[in-house]
Amino acid sequence: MDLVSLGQIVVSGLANGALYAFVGLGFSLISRSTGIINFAQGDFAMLGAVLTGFLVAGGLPLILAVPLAVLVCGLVGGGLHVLAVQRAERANMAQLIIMTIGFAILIQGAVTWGWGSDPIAIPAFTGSAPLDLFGVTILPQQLWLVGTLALVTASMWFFFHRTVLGLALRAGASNPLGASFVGIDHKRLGAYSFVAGGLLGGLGGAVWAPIAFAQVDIGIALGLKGFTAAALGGFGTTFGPIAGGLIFGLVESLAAGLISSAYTDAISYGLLLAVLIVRPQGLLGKIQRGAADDNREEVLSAGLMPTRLSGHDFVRFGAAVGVLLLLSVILAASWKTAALFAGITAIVVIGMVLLTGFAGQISLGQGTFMMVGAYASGYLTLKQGWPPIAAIAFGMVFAGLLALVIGRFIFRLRGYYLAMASLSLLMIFQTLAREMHSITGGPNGLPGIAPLQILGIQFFTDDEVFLVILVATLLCLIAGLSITRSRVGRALLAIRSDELAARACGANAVWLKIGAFVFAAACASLAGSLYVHYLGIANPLPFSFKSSIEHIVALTLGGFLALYGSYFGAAIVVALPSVITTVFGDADTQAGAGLKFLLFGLLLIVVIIAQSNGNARRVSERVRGWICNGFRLKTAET
Amino acid sequence: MLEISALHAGYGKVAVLDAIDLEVNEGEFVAILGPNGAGKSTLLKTIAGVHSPERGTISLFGRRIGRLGPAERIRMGLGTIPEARQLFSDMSVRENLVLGAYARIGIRIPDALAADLDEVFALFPRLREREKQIAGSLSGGEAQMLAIARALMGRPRLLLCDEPSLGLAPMLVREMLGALEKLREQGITILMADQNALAVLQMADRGYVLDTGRIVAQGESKSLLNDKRLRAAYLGAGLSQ
Amino acid sequence: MTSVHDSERPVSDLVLQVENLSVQFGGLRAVDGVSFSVAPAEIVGLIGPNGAGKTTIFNCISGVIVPTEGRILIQGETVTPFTPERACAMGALRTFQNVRLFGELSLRENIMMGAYSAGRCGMLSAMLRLPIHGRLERLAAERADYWMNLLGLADYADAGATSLPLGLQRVAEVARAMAANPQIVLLDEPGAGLNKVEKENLSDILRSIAVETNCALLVVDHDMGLVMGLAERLVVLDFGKLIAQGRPEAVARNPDVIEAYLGVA
Ligand SMILES: Nc1ncnc2c1ncn2[C@@H]1O[C@H](COP(=O)(O)OP(=O)(O)OP(=O)(O)O)[C@@H](O)[C@H]1O
Ligand SMILES: Nc1ncnc2c1ncn2[C@@H]1O[C@H](COP(=O)(O)OP(=O)(O)OP(=O)(O)O)[C@@H](O)[C@H]1O
Ligand SMILES: [Mg+2]
Ligand SMILES: [Mg+2]
Repeated sequence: MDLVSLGQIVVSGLANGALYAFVGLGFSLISRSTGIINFAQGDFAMLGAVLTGFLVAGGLPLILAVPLAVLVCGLVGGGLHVLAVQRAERANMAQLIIMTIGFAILIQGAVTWGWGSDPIAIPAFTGSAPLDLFGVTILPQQLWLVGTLALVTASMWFFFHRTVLGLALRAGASNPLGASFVGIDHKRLGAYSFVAGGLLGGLGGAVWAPIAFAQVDIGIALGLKGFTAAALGGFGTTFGPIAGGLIFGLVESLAAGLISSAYTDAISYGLLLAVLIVRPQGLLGKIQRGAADDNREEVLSAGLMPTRLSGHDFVRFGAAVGVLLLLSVILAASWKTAALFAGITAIVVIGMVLLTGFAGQISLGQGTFMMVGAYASGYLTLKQGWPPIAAIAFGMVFAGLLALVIGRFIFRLRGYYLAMASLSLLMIFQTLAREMHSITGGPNGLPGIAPLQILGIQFFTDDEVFLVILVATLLCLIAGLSITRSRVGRALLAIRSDELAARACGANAVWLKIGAFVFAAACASLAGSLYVHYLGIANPLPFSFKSSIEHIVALTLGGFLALYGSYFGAAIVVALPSVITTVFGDADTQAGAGLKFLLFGLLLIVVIIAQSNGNARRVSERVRGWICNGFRLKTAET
Repeated sequence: MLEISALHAGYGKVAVLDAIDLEVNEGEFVAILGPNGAGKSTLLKTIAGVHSPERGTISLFGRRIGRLGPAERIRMGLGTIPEARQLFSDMSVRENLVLGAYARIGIRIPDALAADLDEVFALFPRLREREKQIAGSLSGGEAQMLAIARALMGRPRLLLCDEPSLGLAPMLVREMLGALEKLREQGITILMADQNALAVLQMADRGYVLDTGRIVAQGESKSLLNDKRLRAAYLGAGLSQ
Repeated sequence: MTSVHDSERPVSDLVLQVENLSVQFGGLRAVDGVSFSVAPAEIVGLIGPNGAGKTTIFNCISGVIVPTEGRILIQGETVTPFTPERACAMGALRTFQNVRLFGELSLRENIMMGAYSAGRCGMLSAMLRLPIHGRLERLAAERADYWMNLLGLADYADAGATSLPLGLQRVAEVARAMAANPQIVLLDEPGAGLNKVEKENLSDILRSIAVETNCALLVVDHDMGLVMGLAERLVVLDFGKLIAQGRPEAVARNPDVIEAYLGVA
C-alpha cells in the first residue's frame, strides 16, 4: 500500500469520524444536562439530512434549506422533551433511556411515512471539485464538516464551563430537587438541552449529507456510531466524543482498507469493547469518586416488593398455567404461530426482568446470546451430530460463561456501561456470524436444522412446538420466580436502591449482577435454540439490533419488575405488526412500513408515560384492579 | 411579609399539614419546633414552592404566590437551606456557590460575584480551602456549611432554614447561629425549623410548635420557653447548654 | 449457625485495631497516622471537628475506601482486601450518616438483609431452592424477629422501612447491623436529626446492646451529651491526627480538645 492511498484512507476515516463525533457530542450534551442517554441522537442527524434534501428538492436554496432543517430538528427535540420526557414525571433513568429508543423509532417511522426511504442527493455547499493535497483528495464538504464541528465543540466547551446556564444545566442533571431550591427550572432547561441536541444533530446531518446521501436508514447506524464515539471518549465530556469519534472513524476506515471490509464492524466494535473492559468510563472520562455517602440514586419506587414465596404466588402461577393451556387449546392455527414466537420472546424478556428490572442493568444486545444458542443448536446438531438437548444445554452454558466474563469486567463500575458493551458484543457477533462461513454458513446461515427431539419424541407441527415452548417459558418463569422471591432477589432489590448499604450487609453487588446477567444470557440462548429448531435455519438476520430493541420494548410494555408481564409484552410486540396491518392496510408499501414504526415508537413512549405519570398511573392501576379482581390474575407487580 | 392561612398539604393519600396558619413579619426570627415527622420540612418545602399544597393560601410581600414556581419565589427574595442539603454533588464547591446566586445573575458570571463569595468564605473559611473539591466528597459538616453558604449567595430577604445545625460541630453551631443573628441585624427575616429547640428559641422572637401537622402552640419565645408542659413534651426537659 | 447469638469467630482480646492509618486525597491528608483500638463490648466515642476525618476512618474500616497507609485488624485479623463485603464478613457493620434503608423492602426484610452474610448461598442455590437457602432464610427471619422485639420495632415489621419516622429508621439501621451478629458496629452520627427524647431512647438501646451481646460500638456524634453519656472512652481527632484519648471526663477537660472542638461555652 502506498502512502497516498493510506492518506486517502485516513482522510475518509477522519471525515466519517467527524460525523460520528457530531452525533457523539449530542449524546454527551444531553447526557450531561439531563443524565439521559438519548438514543434518538442519530435520528436527529438523519432528520437534518433528509429534511435538507427534501427542502432542496422542493426548490429552496441551500442557504435557507439547511438552517430551516436544523431548526426543525431543534423543535422536534424540544417537543419530544416537553410532550414526552416531562410527562413521565416519576420515570427512572432506565425508563427514560428506553423512552428515547421510542423517539428513535418514532422519527424513523415518521420520516419513512412522510418521505419514503429512498436516498436523496444533496449538492455540496461550495462546489464538489476535490482539493488535492500531495495526491490525497479532499472534498470541500469534508472541510465544512470538520470546520463546523470545531466551531460547535468550542462553543459547547465555553457554554458548559463559562456560562451560568451551562452550570445550571449540569446542576439540574446532578440534583433536580436541589436545582429548584436555587431557582433553576430544570424542566425548562432539560427542554433547552433537547432543543440543543436536536440542533446539533440536525446540523451534523445537514452538513454531512452532501458527502453521501440522505436516507432514513442511516439513522440507526449513526446513532450506534455516535453512541460509540461518546462511549469510547467518555460520556459527559466535551472533547471525549470528538476523540472517540475520530478514533472510531479512523479505525473503521483503516480496518476496511488494510484488513478486510468484511470485518470492519468486528474490529471497530472490538476496540470499543476492549476500551470498556479496560476503562469503562471511556478514554477521557472521569470516574466520580465522591464520599460514598451522597452518591445515591433516588429510586422513586412504586412501593414494597415481595421477596418471599407466598400463597399468592402459587395461585397466580396456577392461573397463568391455566390461561396458557386454555390458549393452546382455543388458539386458531394462524395465531398459534404468532403465539409461538411470542413465547420465544417471552423467554428472553423473563431474563431481562432480572437483568434490567432487578439488577438495574440495560442490555442492548440480548440478540448476542440468542445467536449463541441458535448457532450452538445449528452447528452442533448439524455438523457434530449432537442431540438437540445437549446442544441447547451447551449453548446456555456457553452464553452464561460469556456473560460471566463480560460482567466480571463491566460491573466493576456503576453506570450504564453494559448498554454499550452488550451493543458492541452484538455487532461483533453479527459480523462473525456473517463471515465465519465454515462454522456459521455465512449470511445464508445453516439450513436444515432438525426439529426438536426430546427422549425420542419429535416436536414438529406448530401444536407440538407450541407445547414445548410453553413448557420452556414456564420453566423460565419458575426459575425467575424462585430467584426473585428469595434472599437473592431481596439482595438485588437492596442493591438497586442503595448499593453501598447492601454491600455493607455482605451482599456482593458485582457477583449478584453477574448472576442476573448470566441468567438472562442463558434464557436468551434457550430462546435462540428453540427459534432455530422451529424454523430449521440459523442465520444472523433475526438476531440483529432491531430484535434486541424489540426485546426492550417488550420488557417495557410488560413492566420492568413483572415476570408475568413478559408474556404480555412479548405478545404485543409480536402481534402489533399484524394488528397494524389489519387496521391500516398493507404494510408492504414504504408508507405502510413507516406508519407501523411510527405507531410502535408512539406506543413505547405512551406506555412509559403511563407507567411513570402520577395521573396516568392512578387510572391504569384502577383498570388493573378491576381486571385482577375479575380474574384473580395479577398481570404486573410494578 | 409571609402569611399562610389554612394550608393543607400531603404526599398522595397521606395528609401531612392540617390547616396551618402562620405569619412572619419583616425582620423577625421565627422558629418552628416539633417532633420528627411533624411536617416541618413539608411546610418549608411548600413555602419554597417545591411541594404543592392541596389547599390554602401563601402570600409573600403581600402577593399571593400559590401559583408561582420556586424560581419566581426566589426572585422575590426567598432563600432556602433545604433538608438533606440537596447539593450538586458532582460539581465543585465554587460552582455550587455560584449557582446559589443563579436567580439573580445573568448568563455570564458577573465580576461582582467575587465579593459575595469572599463574604461566605469569611463565614466558613473551610469552604475556601475546599473551593475546587467536588461537593459530594465533603464531610457531613462541610456539606452543611456549603448548603448554608449557597442559600446566602442568593441574598435572600426571607431565609428558610431546615435544620441548619445538622452535622455541625458544637463550636460551629454557635458560630452559625451567630452569623444568622448578624443577618437578622441586617434586616433579613428568618424562619427556622430545628431540633436544637432550646438554642433556637433563645434566639428567636417567636415560635410555633407543630405536631402531626397541626400547630399546637405558638407565641413569644419567652412564653414558650417558660411553658412547663411544652418543655416536657417537645423541648426535652432539663436539657443542658 | 442456627441460634441467634452464638458465633464461631475466634475471640481476640481486641475487636478492632487501627494501626498507623493514613488516607490521602490529592493534596489533603484527611487521616494522618491514627492508631487506636476497641475492646469487646466496649463503647468508644470518636469525636472531632468537621472534616477531622471521622467518616473517612469509618469508610476505611467498613471497606468503602482503601487507606493510603496503615492497617486495620478485626479480631486480630488484618482486613484485606478493603471491600464492604469483606468488612461485613469479618464482623464490622456500620450505620450511615444519613439513614440508608432499602425503600422497596419492608422493615422486616431490611433487617433480614442484615443477616445476609450469615452464610453463602448464591443465585443458583436460590433458584434450585437448595436446603441451604431455606436454612438461611429461617435464620434471617429469626434474627430479624429477635432484634425487632428487642428494639421495639415489632409493630412496624411489615411497614415500608422508609415510611417510618426518622427516629425509628435510625433504630432499624441499628437492628439491621445487629442482625449480622457483628463484632463491632460503627455508628456515624446516630443522633443527627433526632430530638432529645429520641436520642435518649437510642442511647438506651445502644447501651442495652452492649450489655446483651458481646458487640463493641464505635460512635461518632456531634452531640456531646449523647457521646459523653454513652461512651466509656473517647478518641479525639483534629485535622486527621489523633489529639487525645481516654475517659470522657478527662478528655472533656483536655485543653487541646476544648480548643479544637468543644470551644469555651
Ligand atoms: N416524599 C414523601 N413521601 C411520602 N411521605 C413523606 C414524604 N416526605 C415526608 N413524608 C411524611 O410526611 C410526614 C412529615 O414529614 P416532614 O419531613 O415534613 O417532617 P419533619 O417535621 O420535617 O420531620 P423531621 O424532624 O424528621 O425532619 C412524615 O410522616 C413523613 O413520613
Ligand atoms: N474524595 C475526597 N476528595 C478530597 N477530599 C476529601 C474526599 N473525601 C473526604 N475529603 C475530605 O477529607 C476530610 C475528612 O472528611 P470526613 O468525612 O472524614 O470528616 P468527618 O470527620 O466525618 O467530618 P464531619 O463531622 O463534618 O462529618 C474533609 O475535609 C473532606 O473534605
Ligand atoms: Mg424535616
Ligand atoms: Mg462525617
